[in-house]
Amino acid sequence: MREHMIGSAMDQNLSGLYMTKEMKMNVLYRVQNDKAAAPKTFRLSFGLIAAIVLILVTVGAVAAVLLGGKAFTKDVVAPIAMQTDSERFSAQEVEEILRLADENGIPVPQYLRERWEKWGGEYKEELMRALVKTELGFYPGSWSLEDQNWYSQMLVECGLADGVGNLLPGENDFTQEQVLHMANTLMVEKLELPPDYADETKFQRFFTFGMDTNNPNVTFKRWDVGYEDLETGAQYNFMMLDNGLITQAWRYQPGTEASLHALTEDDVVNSFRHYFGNSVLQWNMEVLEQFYHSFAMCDHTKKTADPGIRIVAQTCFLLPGGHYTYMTEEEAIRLAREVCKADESLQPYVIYFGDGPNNMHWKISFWEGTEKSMQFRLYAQIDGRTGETEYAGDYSGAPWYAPLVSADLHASIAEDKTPRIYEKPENWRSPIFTDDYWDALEALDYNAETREQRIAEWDSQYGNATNQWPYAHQAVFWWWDMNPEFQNINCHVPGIPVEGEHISKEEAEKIARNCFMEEAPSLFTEEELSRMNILPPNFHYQVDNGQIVAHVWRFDIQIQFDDGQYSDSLIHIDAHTGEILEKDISSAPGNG
Amino acid sequence: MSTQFSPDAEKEMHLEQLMNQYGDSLLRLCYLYLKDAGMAQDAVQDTFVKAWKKMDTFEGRSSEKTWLCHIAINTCRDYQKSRWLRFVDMRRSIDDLPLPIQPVDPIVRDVYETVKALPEKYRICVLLYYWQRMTLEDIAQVLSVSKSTVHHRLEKAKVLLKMELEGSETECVNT
Repeated sequence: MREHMIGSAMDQNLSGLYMTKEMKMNVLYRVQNDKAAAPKTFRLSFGLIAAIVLILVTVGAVAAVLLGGKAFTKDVVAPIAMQTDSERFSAQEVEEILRLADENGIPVPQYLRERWEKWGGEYKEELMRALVKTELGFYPGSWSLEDQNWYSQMLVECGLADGVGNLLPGENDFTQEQVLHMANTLMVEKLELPPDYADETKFQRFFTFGMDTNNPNVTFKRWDVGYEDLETGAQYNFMMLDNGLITQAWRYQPGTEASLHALTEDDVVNSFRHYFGNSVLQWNMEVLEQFYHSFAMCDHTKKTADPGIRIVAQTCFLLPGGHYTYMTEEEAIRLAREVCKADESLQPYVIYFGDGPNNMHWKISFWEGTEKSMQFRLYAQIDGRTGETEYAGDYSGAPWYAPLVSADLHASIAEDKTPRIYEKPENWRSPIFTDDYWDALEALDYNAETREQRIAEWDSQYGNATNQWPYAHQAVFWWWDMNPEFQNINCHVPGIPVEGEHISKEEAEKIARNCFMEEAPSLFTEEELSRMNILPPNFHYQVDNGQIVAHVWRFDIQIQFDDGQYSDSLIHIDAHTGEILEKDISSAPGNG
Repeated sequence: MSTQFSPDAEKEMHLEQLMNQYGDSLLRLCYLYLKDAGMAQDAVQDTFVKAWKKMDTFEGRSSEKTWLCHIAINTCRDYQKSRWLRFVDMRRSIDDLPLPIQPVDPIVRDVYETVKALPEKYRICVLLYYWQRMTLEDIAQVLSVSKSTVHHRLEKAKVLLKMELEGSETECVNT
């Protein structure tokens, strides 16, 4: 097998994925809209003013009979849509709608017009949305809540949606003003949203309230508030459930890797526990799904103290019942019970997770006891598409969160059944956590009783960024944070440099600098190079298949650009030999 | 009724031509980057809209394919960052899954899955080099990294692929 196999493997496996005619037409349609929306600067001449006055007079005279895009859709197009059960308008219907649109002066984009004529028909929803957009604006999220709700209701009335997805707040809901006030305050304070966010020439606002009607299991209503800086493209996002739980608040700047987050890991974990109970195992699948997204979009600079919940947060939970559900929960439980030979006295605990249409899984765990004290016994993981059993096993010695993680992660954790420990156990053997670790723990007076105090002390003494701590402290922090039972998950663990055994930090820095400078002049200007900043290096053990394969000095060299952004270049140096193990020299802002 | 949107026919014809020529492979590239068919479909459309906007400033210093890949990958990066909150129509239907048209040989499937599972920075280099047949220089341009970084990533990717595929009957790449 040679290189060509990669190309053919991609082509064969993805042959079902191609750019459809609809997608191409959509691009052309958007291009037309963009052109129409492009800001233009006008100089008013006397002639132009006269023409405008004439138009205004004329429009005023016929305004009583002409309909705008919204009213036209409501009064003319929706009744036509209701006459048939089809999702599409026929060619004759489209022709008639176009004729009536022309009569009413609806500015139907030319490309849309050509597309409808060419295809001889159109999906009702797309055609109606396009017409409404001519009056209310391109993005439905920028319409008023009333207009969003009206449109959503109309789709239901036309038989094109199962439920009203865009809602108006009821008596028990927060009001629009309350939500906007909360969102704006938080974003101005924590995300540096400029105070002129209400200036529509500078910011586009998106504001929605509703729920996903595609999935019958969704119960949360959700507020979304967002601003887009029309000049820079920066996005400011705020998301809140209808019970008041703020699930996300972050800023995104296009072209940069770093986002700014208003919520920390602790904020997310504590809020979810406050709203849904302390025990994560009691959260339902919808809450878990929300939790996954919230945790993914928070600030990870300071890690939450509970390593278990950080492991849980790696599971991309899904709420079954949506588009990517091929098998019912009942069917998955039945299959799992069969595989595990779990008798009916054992209760099922179910999670559904995955990261794409070809990667969906059910994990069914069987437990006994009471809901407050679930004793997990057996589990099976089922491929969500095919129903094939991927894993099956028992839970002996597994940590509390094992039912909440994928079976392979669970297996990698369960392989080493060492309980959480704070001093070197008898007969301890680990190629990664060697005697150096235990000595460091002892030297720093770190044990089960002192650990929280020590971490807090180091935090205040050396700062929040743990990579600025002394190496022994970093190593201990990692130990505290991740626990050795997770050691197979990561490929780098902080290590402790030993004088005489490893090349010194200074020596390693010289090597890193030389390596960087071999390429840097072709990527950066002299002025940029004058702003080079070599960050204090990390010292890592590179772990492969549970074994340390190299001791590594890891350098991050930053170059600051004129606009304040940085590029990161990474250089890994073998701490024994000085050999360059890896280099990733980049001029891309935000790389790293 | 008169048309309010005056199309620049030549430019749009060229855009259509680009979509016909590169649309499928860019869509698949986006899918392999994002691992989500729906998002990939959005990303590839955004790619072409951006290409249309930048068409006048395209100087031809690289091939059109390289230029489009560059836009597509930056678009995917943006999507990764903002994937959890886009103000899209909730009513938009999700298209069918990207199932292969023909049944796929299990070995070929293994190679596909293994490449797909590579860490992002290696995966993209492998896809651009072995699949899109781009040169190291072009890849360096697309990813805004040096040529030697691309070379290093490819070497590393080869080692990872070999390790993963070891034990199966196939050797994926020359090492």
